[in-house]
Amino acid sequence: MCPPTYFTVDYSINPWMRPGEASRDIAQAQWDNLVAAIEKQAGAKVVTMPAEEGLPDLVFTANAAFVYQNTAIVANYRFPERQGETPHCVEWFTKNGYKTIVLPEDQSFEGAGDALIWQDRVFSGYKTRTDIITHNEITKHTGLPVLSLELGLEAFYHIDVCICPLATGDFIYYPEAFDSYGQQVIEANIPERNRIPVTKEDAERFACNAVNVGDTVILNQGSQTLVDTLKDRGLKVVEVDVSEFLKAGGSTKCLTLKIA
Amino acid sequence: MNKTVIELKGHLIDSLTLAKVIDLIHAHQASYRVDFIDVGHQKSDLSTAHISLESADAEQFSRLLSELKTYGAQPLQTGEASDIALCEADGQAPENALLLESCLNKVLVKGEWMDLNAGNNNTQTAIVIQGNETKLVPVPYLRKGDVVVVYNPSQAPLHSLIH
Repeated sequence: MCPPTYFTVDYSINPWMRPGEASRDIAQAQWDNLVAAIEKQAGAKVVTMPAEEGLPDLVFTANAAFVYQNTAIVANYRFPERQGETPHCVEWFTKNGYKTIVLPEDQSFEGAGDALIWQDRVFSGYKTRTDIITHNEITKHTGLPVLSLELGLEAFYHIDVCICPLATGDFIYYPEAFDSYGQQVIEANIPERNRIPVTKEDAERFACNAVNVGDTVILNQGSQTLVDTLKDRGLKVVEVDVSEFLKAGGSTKCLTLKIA
Repeated sequence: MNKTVIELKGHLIDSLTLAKVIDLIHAHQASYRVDFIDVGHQKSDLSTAHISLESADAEQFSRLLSELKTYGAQPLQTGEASDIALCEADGQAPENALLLESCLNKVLVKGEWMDLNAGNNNTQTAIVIQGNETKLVPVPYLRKGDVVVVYNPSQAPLHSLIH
């Protein structure tokens, strides 16, 4: 994770962003609560990378890279506002012993924001922020097959706000974020008993953008329909308030990057 | 008549990308032919397809090509190479060298498929002219003074990729 020391909403590169509306103090308190939930309720360890002045979206570490075992494929951001983050991510992963892959400059790739592992394969989004050609790089560097899913809704611009594969084998997703081809791919790969579709209302509260550790799911508060469904399946659900980060278009999953 | 050949490479089958591209071609009322397809054997293998496209409507053809970029479609250069150039240093191909790329990752030996060492894969190969003969030489093995086939990118059509 990366602390919101310099978090603010100064620009708008997605439909959720309203410049000038976010409070850094509230964001810091919410971020601290999220860390506590991950460490104390999910039992995971949080490591951090330093925040950088002038890079308010560095807090959304999900995009920093796609990590598999000891390999980190670092992001090449679509928008100039975030491109400055890449060198810091390269430095962090290299310093921490990862084989750090930097893709060609003309290939947009937004890390684990657009690539999520489910069992032995990767569901990866393309079009809005990530180029489909980078999916071949994921396979090349990790050996994992990739299922490429086109993203067509501007408000659901990363695949991690459209799906959440769970360690239990379940799969939270917002079907309407995908065209008929994408829905067919999901249905062909995920057994019906494991599929958990979310409503539009829950999707707009970033219900799919959840942190999962084992059978614990940590998500933004307010998605009661999904919360009830997850509890019925025996999952432990932790709701946190990350509303300040929603003003920048990200929720709990966006604020984290699973590296182990 | 507007024509081109595109290459698609990726998890074309499992992701339904090939089906989506063909549907897009139909939607733009272009005609097509799949000239080449190589479907990966394992789930982690990439598939490759070469598709010839043709349309009488230049504007719609242009829109189609623009939309196909979303799916990773790359234009294939086809035709004849036009010139030669000397290698200026060992292991370096001249600018605009006609390079062939091998995507072999398995070979069938006495009935058993064997994986090829990853270090030998995807090596670009130049065409070297020696007297009246041509020889395929991987770029790292080119020597200063080798006569290499090159193409002039301002001319079209140019060369074909061979797998």
